[in-house]
Amino acid sequence: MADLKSQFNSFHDTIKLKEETEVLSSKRDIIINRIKDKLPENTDYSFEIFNQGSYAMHTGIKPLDSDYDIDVGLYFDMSKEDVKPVESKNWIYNALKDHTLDVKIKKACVTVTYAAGYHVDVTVYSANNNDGKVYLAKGKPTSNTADKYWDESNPKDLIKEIRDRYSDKEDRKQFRRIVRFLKRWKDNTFSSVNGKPTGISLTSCAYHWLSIQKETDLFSGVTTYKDLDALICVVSIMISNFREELVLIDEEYTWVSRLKVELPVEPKPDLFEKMTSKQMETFKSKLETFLEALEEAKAATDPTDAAELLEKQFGSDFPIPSKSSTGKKAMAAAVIPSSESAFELL
Amino acid sequence: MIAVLFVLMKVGIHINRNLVYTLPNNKILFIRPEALAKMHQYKQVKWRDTEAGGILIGRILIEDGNYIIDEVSEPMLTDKRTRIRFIRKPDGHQEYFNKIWKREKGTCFYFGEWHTHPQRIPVPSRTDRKEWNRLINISFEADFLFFIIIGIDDFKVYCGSTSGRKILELNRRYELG
Repeated sequence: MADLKSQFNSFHDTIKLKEETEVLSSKRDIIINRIKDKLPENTDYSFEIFNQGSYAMHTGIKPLDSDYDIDVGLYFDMSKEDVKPVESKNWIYNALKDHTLDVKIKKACVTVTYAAGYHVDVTVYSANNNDGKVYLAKGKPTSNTADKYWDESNPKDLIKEIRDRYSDKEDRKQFRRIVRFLKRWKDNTFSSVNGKPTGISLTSCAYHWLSIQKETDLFSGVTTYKDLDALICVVSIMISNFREELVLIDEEYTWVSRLKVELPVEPKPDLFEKMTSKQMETFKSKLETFLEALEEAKAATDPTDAAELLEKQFGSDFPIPSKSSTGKKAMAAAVIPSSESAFELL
Repeated sequence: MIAVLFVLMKVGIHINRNLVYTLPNNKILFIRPEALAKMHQYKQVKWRDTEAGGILIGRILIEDGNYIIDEVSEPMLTDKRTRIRFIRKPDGHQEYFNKIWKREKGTCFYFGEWHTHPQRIPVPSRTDRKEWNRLINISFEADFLFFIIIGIDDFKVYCGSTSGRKILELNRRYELG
């Protein structure tokens, strides 16, 4: 009945992206200053800069490949009727391109890559629309017309929704820990980018399906958070939420099992929509292996055995305690007695 | 928790089960498979196999106070072994204990005795019970001592409280989540 509380705590400390590391914020400041300086040369629309992405939601983890992702959002005071999406992304591109850096226009953002394992994703929004909604600029200069569009998006609402999930401070911390554990599991278990669930999709699973797992001791009044139970809870609900769907594959209708999860804010798109049937199948079987490991770890008496099972799922940042660190200290070495035993036919 | 159990049943996940025993104080005793395998090597399968035995060494977990038997000593040259009798001297077993004590930085305890019987399903003899009663009255640090008898088809685990109560046979159960 291992609960591995101290192993989960130290694992969390290891993988957690501290919200404002100096390097990250200084890299971001460089880009922000550059945008503030150069953007007015490219457009007359006024804009507001804000931090987005997982560190703004307090759910960031350190990347395994040490390629840190810095997300910057730009809210332009303009309507989507007045400007074409790719045109607005070109303003950013032009403002940043002389910056001796690698700058690329991607589908959803403009990406600036540093040599030293950092990249900054700049996202452009049209924030002054008649319908009161915010839209994200999508498309590359080379994209088909159908792929260049303004896509409804509410990054600020999303950050607030995720960051403020659960009113109780300690409950909120467990939610954030569980999100980080799921994300590190994903990074450790999926080797290629293809078919790897996104961070925000797993964050949304925890947002919708986690129920906080804690225990309060009636005598001492001390509350203990059960992260292993919380993971078992959210992963088992994810697995049970897969639904059979009839899909046309190679001109034949086949039943495939799919999981859907909504982004917590409008327009609430299904975040697993882009996964192929094959990728869904892989995702489900990885989740089942994960749940099995979590259950076996919980059932294990020896914390070392339990941690070894979890290390396979979470990777080497999950600590395996030495036997001696799990056992009570004896006062003195035992003096071994002699002993006699026999077998007698009664 | 009920909802989670329901989901688990629905999902039909197969869970590997551990062989564990519940103690009179509701703590759990777990015998590590390596330790069990070591004792099983000495099963008295053949007519000429003699009794074997040794001491049990293990941990009491900080996390929940459960007991784990990690190590067992094997018969030493000075021990007396016949078909129906095993007399264990402290020699060699004490050194074995000290070695583990050093390696585990003092986080191990003397947990009792194991021995074999040339029986399909082992039953403790009068000598065995008398010895066990003597041992639980020596004040060892652990609250319980354990006694394991390895038969040919099965093995039995007994437990005695060092505060001097009766020796009980422990029923094995398969731990689920």
